Amino acid sequence: MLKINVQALRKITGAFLEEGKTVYAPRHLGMGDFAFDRIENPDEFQIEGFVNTLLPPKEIFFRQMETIGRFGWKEEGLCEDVEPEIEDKVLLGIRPCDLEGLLLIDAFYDRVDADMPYKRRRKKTFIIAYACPEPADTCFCVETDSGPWAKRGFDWQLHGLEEGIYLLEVGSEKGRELADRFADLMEKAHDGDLELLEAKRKETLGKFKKRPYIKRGIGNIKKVGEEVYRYLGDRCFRCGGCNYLCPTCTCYNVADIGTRRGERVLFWDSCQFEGYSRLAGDLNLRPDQGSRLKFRFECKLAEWNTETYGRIRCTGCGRCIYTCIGDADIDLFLKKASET
Amino acid sequence: MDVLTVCPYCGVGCGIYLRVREGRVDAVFPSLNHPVNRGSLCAKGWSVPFFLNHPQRARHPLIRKGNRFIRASWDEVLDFVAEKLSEIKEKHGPDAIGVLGSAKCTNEDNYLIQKFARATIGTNNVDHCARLCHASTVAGLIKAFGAGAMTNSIEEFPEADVILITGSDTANQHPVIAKWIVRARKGGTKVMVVDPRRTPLARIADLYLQHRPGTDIAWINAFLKIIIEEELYDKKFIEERTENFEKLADSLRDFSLDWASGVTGIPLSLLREGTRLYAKAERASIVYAMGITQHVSGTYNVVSLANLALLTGNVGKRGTGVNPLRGQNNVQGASDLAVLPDVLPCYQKVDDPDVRKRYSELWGVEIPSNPGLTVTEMIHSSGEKIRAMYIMGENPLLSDPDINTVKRKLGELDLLVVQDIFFSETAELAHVFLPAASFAEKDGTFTNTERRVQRVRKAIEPPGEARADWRIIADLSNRLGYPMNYTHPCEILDEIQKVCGIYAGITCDLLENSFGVRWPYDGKSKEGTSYLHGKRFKTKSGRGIFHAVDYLPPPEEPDETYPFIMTTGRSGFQWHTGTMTRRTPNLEREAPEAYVEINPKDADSLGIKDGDRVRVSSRRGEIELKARITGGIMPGVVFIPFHYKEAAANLLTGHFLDPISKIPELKVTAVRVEKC
Ligand code: SF4
Ligand code: SF4
Ligand code: SF4
Ligand code: SF4
Repeated sequence: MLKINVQALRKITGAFLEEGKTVYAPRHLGMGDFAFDRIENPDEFQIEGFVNTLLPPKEIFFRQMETIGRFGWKEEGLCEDVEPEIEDKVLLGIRPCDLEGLLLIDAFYDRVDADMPYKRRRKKTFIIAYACPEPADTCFCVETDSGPWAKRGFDWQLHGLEEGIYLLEVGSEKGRELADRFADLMEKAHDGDLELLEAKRKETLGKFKKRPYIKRGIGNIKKVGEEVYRYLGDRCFRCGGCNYLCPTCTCYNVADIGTRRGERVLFWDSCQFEGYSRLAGDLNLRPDQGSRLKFRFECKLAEWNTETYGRIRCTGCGRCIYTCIGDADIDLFLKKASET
Repeated sequence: MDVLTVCPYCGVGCGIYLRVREGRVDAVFPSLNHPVNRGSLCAKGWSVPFFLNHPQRARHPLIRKGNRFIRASWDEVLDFVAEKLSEIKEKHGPDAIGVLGSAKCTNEDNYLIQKFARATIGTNNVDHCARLCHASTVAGLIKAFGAGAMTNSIEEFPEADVILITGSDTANQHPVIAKWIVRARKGGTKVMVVDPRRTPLARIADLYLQHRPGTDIAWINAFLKIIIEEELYDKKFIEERTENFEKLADSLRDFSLDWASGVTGIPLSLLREGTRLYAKAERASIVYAMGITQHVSGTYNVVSLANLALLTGNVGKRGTGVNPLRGQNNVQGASDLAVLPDVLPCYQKVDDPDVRKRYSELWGVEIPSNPGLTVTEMIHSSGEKIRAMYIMGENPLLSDPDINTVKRKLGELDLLVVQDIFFSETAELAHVFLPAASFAEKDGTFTNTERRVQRVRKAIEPPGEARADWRIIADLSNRLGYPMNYTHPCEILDEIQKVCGIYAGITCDLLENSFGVRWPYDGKSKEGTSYLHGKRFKTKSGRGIFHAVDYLPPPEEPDETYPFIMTTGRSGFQWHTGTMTRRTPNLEREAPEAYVEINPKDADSLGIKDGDRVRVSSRRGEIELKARITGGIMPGVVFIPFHYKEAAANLLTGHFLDPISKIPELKVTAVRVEKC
């Protein structure tokens, strides 16, 4: 392990920016709100002092709404594709749950042969993860094996020792190369640092709310009765937030906006909408909200996920819990599932 | 870049960030720490970028030449409008001109448009769509409490022991408030719903009472009667804080609970259970919306709810109150700032000479003394008394009752100017169309349903030549010889806080690093006033006033030819006339077409199956739409959302008005239903 402080990190970020890389990092928007966004200068980022950003960094690759084509009749049959910008990217400060989310979306796209903006953007991304020191009470990554520190998928991972001082863990060949390149901005970690890290990790784990029902609930998923889904279905008001904010949701829809002149847009979709599963003639595979919730929970937690992806597709980020405008979140579901 | 602003849809006023990339808003997300939404949005809030980027956004001023609209420059159209308005004013007097402000526009836009009507033109003919939603709230709550606004705040719901929701489909219309209510319930708050429709919240409520549309006063009076009978009222509160209790008690002496049960359709035992639940609570909060207000008895419905709160001492402390959920994002602000024909900013009566004197001095011009006409009155005297109308950000052609008449009347105007972000149905009748900037393209403030004044921030440039509403009005006023030289909306807010007491102290500086301040602002607390009427009511005597209220049957009762009661409302995925939501693919997919909800029993006797096309007709018109069979509505009642121009519910509604607030009856119309 190496050791680095925040000033050095800013210098390195400055170097990245100078080389023309685009850097995405959390930024304080004011009043305690943080967002992952493109930064223009190295002073702009703030990686600690908050739990996580509201939008998962998946938004950088898989946009909430993006134009993929333009058309127009008047403009002599205008019909053109709009290509996503491809940049050399650095993702700085991504949390372990969200990193695991990206890896799961990668795996999803590895299975399909579509030329999606996500795939193009995802190439050439240098990932600097940040191990979480302090969970929110909605976080449960410890139960889903995706945090509070990352075990895979990063080039570097930062572990806070004290404010502004981190241990830097190298996680890839590319990471090794860059660590060598910036060697004069880092030092070797001492035994004392590693001991401190161990103590910090223990402390962090102790801060998680105990949720023994999560693993039990996941184990029971096949057995959950219809009455649980009906109960939750009555408590979902169809905002779509649980899907929009989920770092592993991949669903999108494509629509043409405008008639004579307009754009083809690709945008986030949610399986919680009635229209998501509506077929011609108003047939619906999932006619009530309970069946839609069942579909969502199975998409995240059912066994076939482990067969296909090697793990469940919930990374315990907790976003679908706090954003729910009803009372139909995954935590409540797993509580109920654990009781069946 | 992420810009903090306010959701433009409903009155909840969720704090949102707009993500700007290359001059376009291509994402929206909720603020995690905003005290109203704390990381949540409803489906509408989540889809804000769609309408902003829509290719049909209005980009250029247009002027009618015969049957066509042609592009013109701003100078040309503004000169034309100024000239026409002066001409009409000269010929017919200022009262021949009517002005509509908009609950979608900012406080600054609205303050200017009413100032434009009163100071520039010289008429009190200025109103907005609050007439169609909460005019009766303002009138009713001013009678009872002296202030026409939500008495308490959103954050207080979890502190209530009981929440009584009536005439509000909160989960669909104010979804993020439903979040608070659902979470309150998890924390032990009891939830009771009284509504003709079994709404999503009714499904999970602790108690649900289903009443016939239009019989609100009957069930509320029954509650009052039971409270008095069982001595569940708050004697101390009544003595110290209210007046007229005796009058109320007298009026209820001969009130028959059996009769009330018969009229409302609520079994007597449930009436008693509901009353006890509400009256025995330490803190009980009433939440209501258009199911209470949009009736000919709207004002008295509101007054009745106020009676209920006063009788049990449920006003003036946390977790209680009478809480109207305002529909549009800024209907509170537009009302506060007097886009209303009878008051000047801060609800000061225009027929009060002292008030007029003060404003005449402030604005440097004589304020007309006679109260003006309401929206509905203006439209219905179009072509007669009213020769010109200036409509900012409203679409009366779809939102107002009895559309056929509206269309004919607006067609008779000498000048119709429509200013909007899309070329709306109403715009098609206009002589001049002015393209306006949307909320994301201008600065200003909105006031949400809990009186929270919040900063609206410009994130992007308006499309084409579109301009901010306040700027268009100021430019026009300057041409008409009344100078309005503002360079930024913050200057307008500064004027507002000087002339209007409840906004005093609320400036752009104060709102800069903040999630908004609830008026009145005492100069200290960070978020302003949480609840009103803590020590004194805002009435003259400082006391809450009871009113004896008699049941008034709805203007149209079902009969042989029109045997059903139609009630109208909204879907959670469309917004009003659909100008924005119908251009949003995921919302349109979720609620693509009009439907009529009908009880299985009625459907059965009419031979209607789910999904059949049916014809619904009233004395004024007919529409065809899909039947949706649901046990959520009582036999004899049908429900139609009013968003769809292809089957506009407002072709059927009448123009029966509440005599006090002039709100139209939109919730009870006698109709016939037949299979097509
Ligand atoms: S399902 Fe919920 S907790 Fe799990 S990853 Fe998705 S948003 Fe996070
Ligand atoms: S099906 Fe639902 S839960 Fe699964 S990825 Fe799509 S939106 Fe997410
Ligand atoms: S966040 Fe909650 S209310 Fe919204 S769609 Fe998901 S489960 Fe339903
Ligand atoms: S609840 Fe209202 S303010 Fe909040 S996101 Fe929905 S429409 Fe917007």
